[in-house]
Amino acid sequence: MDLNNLIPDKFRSLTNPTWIVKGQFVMFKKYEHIPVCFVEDDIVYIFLENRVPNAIIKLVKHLINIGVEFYFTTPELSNPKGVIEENYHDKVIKHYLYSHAQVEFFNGFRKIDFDLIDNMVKWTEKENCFDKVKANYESISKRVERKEYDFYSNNYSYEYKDEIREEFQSLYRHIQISKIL
Amino acid sequence: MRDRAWRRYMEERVVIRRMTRSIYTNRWWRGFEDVNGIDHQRPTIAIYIGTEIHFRAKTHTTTKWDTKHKVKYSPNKDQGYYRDDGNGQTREINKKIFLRILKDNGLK
Repeated sequence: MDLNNLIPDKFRSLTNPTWIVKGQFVMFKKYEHIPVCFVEDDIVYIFLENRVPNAIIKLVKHLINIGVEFYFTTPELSNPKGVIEENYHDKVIKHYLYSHAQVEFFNGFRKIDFDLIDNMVKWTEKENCFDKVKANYESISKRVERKEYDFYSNNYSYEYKDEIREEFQSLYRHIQISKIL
Repeated sequence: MRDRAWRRYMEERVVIRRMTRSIYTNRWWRGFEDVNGIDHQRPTIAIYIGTEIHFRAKTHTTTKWDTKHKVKYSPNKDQGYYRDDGNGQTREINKKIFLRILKDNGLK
């Protein structure tokens, strides 16, 4: 698979230095070149980079249009240091769920009608690691529900939006339904 | 040619310079958590992107010493950084008054 084809059509030009192919990665420039995706066994793996959410959403939209199989992965893999093999599945699942809680991805994927959780379930089935989802879901869920109490105004303030917190309360059911379907 | 690309380049240069300064002056003994929730012992510019430090480094003020507190690209740019809107003649306050007049007259 030619990596140049993965760059969205609008940005694929010789004069545009924002999207480039460098080595095995497609990169997006924001101050520095940030790896966005790579190909392994004809499957595209996209780094769920919260640093460049708009670029990731545009890339996903483009991949849906050209009909390529793709999954997401953690940006830690773009680092030459890599990830310890034992933690690999946990890290990727955790990053899927963490990114789902971020406003940019939450609204952006909804806008293009893309189900990130469904993609995660497909990936776990492919890697035979669905049993690791629940533990990671619980740890991320705790983070999303994090709140602070203000004694003087007698109010709780939350780090994440109400919409996202409500979504996370019933997210595990959504995961199970995606698994059955 | 001082066009949009040039202005963006100049602004990026300032942001990079400020973030670089932060790399050398700040120390994160427990590691620095980037916007992806990953800890780094020695952050680089790319790791700062999207974090509070990056937003703080974005230049909304000029880089010259004598006009340091002057806010760029604002209709109220002649005001200082800490605005004194005591005379009530700012665009926002005028807009509020205008909307109130429209509501009172049943136009909105």
